[in-house]
Amino acid sequence: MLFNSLGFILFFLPLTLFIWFRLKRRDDKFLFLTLASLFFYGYWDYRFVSLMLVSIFIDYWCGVKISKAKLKGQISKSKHWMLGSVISNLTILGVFKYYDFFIDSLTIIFAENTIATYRLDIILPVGISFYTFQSMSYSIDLYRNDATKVRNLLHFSAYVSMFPQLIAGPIVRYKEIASQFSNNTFSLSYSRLYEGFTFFIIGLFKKLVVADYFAQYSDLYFNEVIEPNFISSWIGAFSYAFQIFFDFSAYSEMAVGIGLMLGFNFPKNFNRPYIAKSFSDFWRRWHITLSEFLRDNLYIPLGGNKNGKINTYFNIFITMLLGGLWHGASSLFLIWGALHGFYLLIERAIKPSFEGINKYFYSILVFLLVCIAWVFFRSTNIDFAFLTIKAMFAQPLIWFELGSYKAIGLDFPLVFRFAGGLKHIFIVFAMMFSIWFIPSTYNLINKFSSKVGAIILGLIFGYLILIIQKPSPFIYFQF
Amino acid sequence: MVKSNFRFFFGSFLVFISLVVAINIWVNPYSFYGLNSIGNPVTHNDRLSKSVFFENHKLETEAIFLGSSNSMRFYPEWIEDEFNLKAYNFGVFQASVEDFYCLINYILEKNPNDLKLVFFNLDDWNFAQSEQNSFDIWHPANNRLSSVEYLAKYLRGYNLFTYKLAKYKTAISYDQFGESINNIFQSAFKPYIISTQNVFHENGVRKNYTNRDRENVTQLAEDGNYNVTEYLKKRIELLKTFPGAGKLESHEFFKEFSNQRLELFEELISILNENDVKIIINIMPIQPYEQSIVEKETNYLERVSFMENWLNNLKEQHRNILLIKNNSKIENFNGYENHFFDAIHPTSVNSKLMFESILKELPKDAI
Repeated sequence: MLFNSLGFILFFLPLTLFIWFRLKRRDDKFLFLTLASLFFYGYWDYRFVSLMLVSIFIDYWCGVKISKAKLKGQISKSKHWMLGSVISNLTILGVFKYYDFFIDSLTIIFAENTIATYRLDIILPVGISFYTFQSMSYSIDLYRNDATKVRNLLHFSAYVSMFPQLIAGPIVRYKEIASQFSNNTFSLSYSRLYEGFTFFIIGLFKKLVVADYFAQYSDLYFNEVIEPNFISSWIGAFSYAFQIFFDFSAYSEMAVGIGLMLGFNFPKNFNRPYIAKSFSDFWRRWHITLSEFLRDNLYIPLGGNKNGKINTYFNIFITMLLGGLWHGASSLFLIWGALHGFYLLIERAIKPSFEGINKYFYSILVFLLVCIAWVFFRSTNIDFAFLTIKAMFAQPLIWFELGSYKAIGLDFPLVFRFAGGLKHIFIVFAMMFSIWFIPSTYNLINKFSSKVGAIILGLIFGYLILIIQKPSPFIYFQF
Repeated sequence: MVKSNFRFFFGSFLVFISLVVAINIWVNPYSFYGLNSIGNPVTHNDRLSKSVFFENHKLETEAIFLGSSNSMRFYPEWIEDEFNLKAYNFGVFQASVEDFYCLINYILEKNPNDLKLVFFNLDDWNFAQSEQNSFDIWHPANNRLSSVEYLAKYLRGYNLFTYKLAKYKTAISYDQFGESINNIFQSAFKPYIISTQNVFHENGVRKNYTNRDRENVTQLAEDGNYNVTEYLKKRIELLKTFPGAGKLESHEFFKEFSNQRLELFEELISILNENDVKIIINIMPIQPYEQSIVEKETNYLERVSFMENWLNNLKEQHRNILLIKNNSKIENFNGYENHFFDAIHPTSVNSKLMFESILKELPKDAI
């Protein structure tokens, strides 16, 4: 079920909220939330509900064992249970997400087609990367004494399966939400409900109006262009950069909104990433919950920046590489991760000499290099990604060709209409300009707290209901 | 305070939605709620306006041309001169077998004894497997037939509830609202150049108006002096470079025939047979350069050959089918490669040549 579908907005969400607020006992609420979330997940493919239940039971069981071992002072035993939880989750992830990629890679490396017969051809369960990370964060946080043991299985299943952020984050770590399970925010509060609605509607607007608009062009570019040129390649890359930002941040904000309606506070996942002052700043603003997860559970355990320059560079690179791989089992994601690792290394290595550079210039440079990395993230094959990069830099401008189109009756503006249109090019540049001025959703929320704000919000909601016809899935569903 | 915010929120939401519904029903861009008064694009209501035209003029039609926009330049006068039958061109945009089925049932109901001859100009995509889901079938923007209740009622699966539900559901949709606003502006500032009266003659023939004039692509009128092949080649070159550039007509890029549509056509032939209506079938051409692309990228040749065999089988079963002529290649009727206006539709010159090629093969006194 998609957040941007009429079924979710007009039926599932109101009904869930109604029952949630009618239930009095906390355990009843969590049982209902688990059931509603499993229905929400199973609506996509009921077969994979059992996989999530397996993940829930394993981590709950490991959590019980870790707590017992800790009580008895058996640190190494608790570590074994924590590792058991991590290995189990990574195994599920490995089999369902990476196994076929591994087999394909072996087939290519050894040039032996018989290896390919070992492929499993399993459909990737939607949201598996998110809920496995979320589920194992419980065992890790328990082991590190960052959180206390969950009260019962109901609380834990509600935490892992919680439908608002189940499919595409934000990745809510157990320690961030543990205390909320025992607070008193689960009864009906109009102010929280209104704030949640506002978040949800702003997110819906970002998805339906902005992300889906840019998707039209980026889909055309990445799916249909055979010979990219200078204009179409840059406009394609910019369009995808805006599409993925508005698409993903829309989902996160809708999740935050639904969380607020129910009485939970989910962490912030985006903070105007395209105005980042540096690459490290970009990763503090983009998919914040994943960055923090990888920092705390991969970069720091690897040694962080404590063992000299070379080790630090190695740790950064490995973290970004695996971060890329987390998005999908494909060499394109690996290249994307490696490219970001490379950006961070270079930045760290030569930063001192950058100090004299204008900060706005550097910020624009960061944005452009991030857009170039998106080309690998979005392309359907490596050849096209490199063709695009080549067109962005090595191809001459195509202005001189325009005359010949005019000769056959295609006039100048028409050619631009074919390139997505002058309007589209203008919108891309307008968006590049406006990202510096559009406030983050967290600052925008207050504008809708007055009566006029409420009227405007109602009109926006009406408009959004009109334009929902066939909802398009969120990009991060595939991860 | 927050509670009253909710009231303002829901209040403005409801007022907005009600306004949209009211405007959509008043403007009625797809003629979903009867003929609209301010004029709308013919492609949205050609089934309705052509059938109203047909009815208003009490033509007592004895012969009709049926087909897609490709058949809109076949003049009824050719039939009148040759066979002395009153004729009408009932070609509709993006025709499918369902359109033929409903239109013929409608004509037979209106003029039960008059109809003597149906001249089908068939494109293979009239029988294409459709990916429309149940909602789309009843959505006037996607299926123009559904905007005319007295035609749609002949469709299989028709029931009044589904029909009415779809009709009013689309009133709460942006595409209809966008069209409504477009209609209001168009009619306020200039007459609708593509409304029915500007596109069709009284006999149902399409006037010499080309779609591409809207896109600043001039010189595609049907004088045959424009180099259509060169134009199409450039469009394909552009397609490789610019997204969305010069896309060829998508109708031909389908893979399978729909069994349902084939069966419906067979049923239609039986109905015509029972009513003693004679049938001539002309398989329509594609512009040769486009055809070479379509042949390369799809199973076009296989499809046309299947269609010809299947129609010949039908001919053996039904005595009222007088002739099946495969004019899918212009060589078959000595046509001209540049006589395709909009780079797609046969001009009246190519249409006449097709008609004459059929006359040559038609047995004497067949009609």
